Amino acid sequence: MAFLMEIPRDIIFDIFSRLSVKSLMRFKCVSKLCNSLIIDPDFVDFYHSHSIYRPDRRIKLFLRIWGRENFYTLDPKSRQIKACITSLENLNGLPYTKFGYVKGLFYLWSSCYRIAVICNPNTRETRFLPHLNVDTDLSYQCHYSLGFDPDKRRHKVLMTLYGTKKSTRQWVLTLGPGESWREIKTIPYNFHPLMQDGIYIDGIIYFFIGCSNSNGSEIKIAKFNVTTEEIRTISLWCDEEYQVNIEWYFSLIEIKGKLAVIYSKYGIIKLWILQNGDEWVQQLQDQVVPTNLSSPLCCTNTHDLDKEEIAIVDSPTSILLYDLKKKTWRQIDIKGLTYDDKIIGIYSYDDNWIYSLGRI
Amino acid sequence: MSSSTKFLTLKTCDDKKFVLDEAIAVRSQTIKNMVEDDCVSNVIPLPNVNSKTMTKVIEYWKKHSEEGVSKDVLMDFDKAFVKVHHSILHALILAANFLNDKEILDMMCQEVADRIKGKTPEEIRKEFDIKNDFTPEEEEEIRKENAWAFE
Repeated sequence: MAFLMEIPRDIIFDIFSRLSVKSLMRFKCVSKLCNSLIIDPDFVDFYHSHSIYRPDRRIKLFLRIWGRENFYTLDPKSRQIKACITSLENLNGLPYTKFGYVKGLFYLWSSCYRIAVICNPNTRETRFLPHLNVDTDLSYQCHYSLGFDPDKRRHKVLMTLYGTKKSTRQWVLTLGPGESWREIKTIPYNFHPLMQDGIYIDGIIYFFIGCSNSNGSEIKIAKFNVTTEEIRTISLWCDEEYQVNIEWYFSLIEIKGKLAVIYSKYGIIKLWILQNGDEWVQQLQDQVVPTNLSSPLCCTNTHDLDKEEIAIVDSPTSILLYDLKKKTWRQIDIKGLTYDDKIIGIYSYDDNWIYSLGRI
Repeated sequence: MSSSTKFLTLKTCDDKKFVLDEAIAVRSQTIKNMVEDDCVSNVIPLPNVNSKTMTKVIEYWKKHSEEGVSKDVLMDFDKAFVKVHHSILHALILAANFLNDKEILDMMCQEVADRIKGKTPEEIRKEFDIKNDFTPEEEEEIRKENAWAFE
């Protein structure tokens, strides 16, 4: 009788949930059946919630530090940082300044047209996305965002290619076996994505776009449904300032499953949350940030189950967390950083996602 | 033993009969439910379990039902109990699942996990008689993707 044949799947999952990620990655290399069991989205979900290696539920943050290629995890107890990806040296020193994190996977990209990199810090898989067979030159720019199809339970990458006097085109790539870029039908009028990272919330990727029509130009938010691959737009609230400054001081953030826009400039933050799909409600008006930085970087909410916190980069060696419910601040001093370092991104993460980047 | 001891007869798929004290047999939740629902006739058929496996299960049940056995003795017993060929582990998992004995099932799952832990793919194939069906190219690729796990 072949190994594991006939054994119900819930028992197989139980056995595998007793193994570390490293053991699972070795087990994948045993045979095709072994590989298919480990990359099965049902198992990935099960491992995420049932692994005996499940870490505690305290907030966990990844840090990206300027000039360093590694990602760092912040141990919530010791507050020490630890390098968590060691295989990024194969990036050949290419600068990837943009990055995001969606359900276990990081993606690194650059607005200069360049193939993006994807990595899973838990399984330590890192690789370039496949090339897109389109004639491009240096005048082209691109924008990448990552999302997750909740139906098929696969990650999808949305790539937008644009340039001056060129029409914007978009492609989608479903990560996994047989992956290839597919061009999709995009917004029927002239637009280009802004440089900020998009954000993925609950089946939807959001990113800022600049639109031009007969009334002039306007900043909107593109809303890409990862399952249906349809793209729509959301208008912002009416405010004189945002149209001018959005590129520099605004970013997208998730607050309790809702899309929010956060503004940070001159030591104050403002926050708008999208309610009922089309109504912007301002939650924070000129909230003073207890920091010395003139424009602190707002990066992430902390996905803490019991709290509604946003993380803000405060100084080279500390971050601030603002609790939206209690309206209080707390500071986390990070050990292992010097004043020459600069945090350029914080992401809250969940430790046990083992989505595969493999193409087998 | 009290005079009210009841015995049950279990019949495995290869038509072997096992007469067992009911108090021991109800370690199986499946049998317990049958007893409680009063749907036990003279013989309880176990169509998914063979006699070789049932002998092992009963050996475990009896040892764990003995009175005055020290924890150390039980631990040594369990250790020896799981040291079997993977085909027997396999059969015990299926039997424990059918009999709904969480204790045996848990022990067997842990044993399979322990036999995978810390081993290279070659060692795992040998341990469980698994055929490597990757092409050399596929194997190279998948090992490269997971190179970190081999450090």
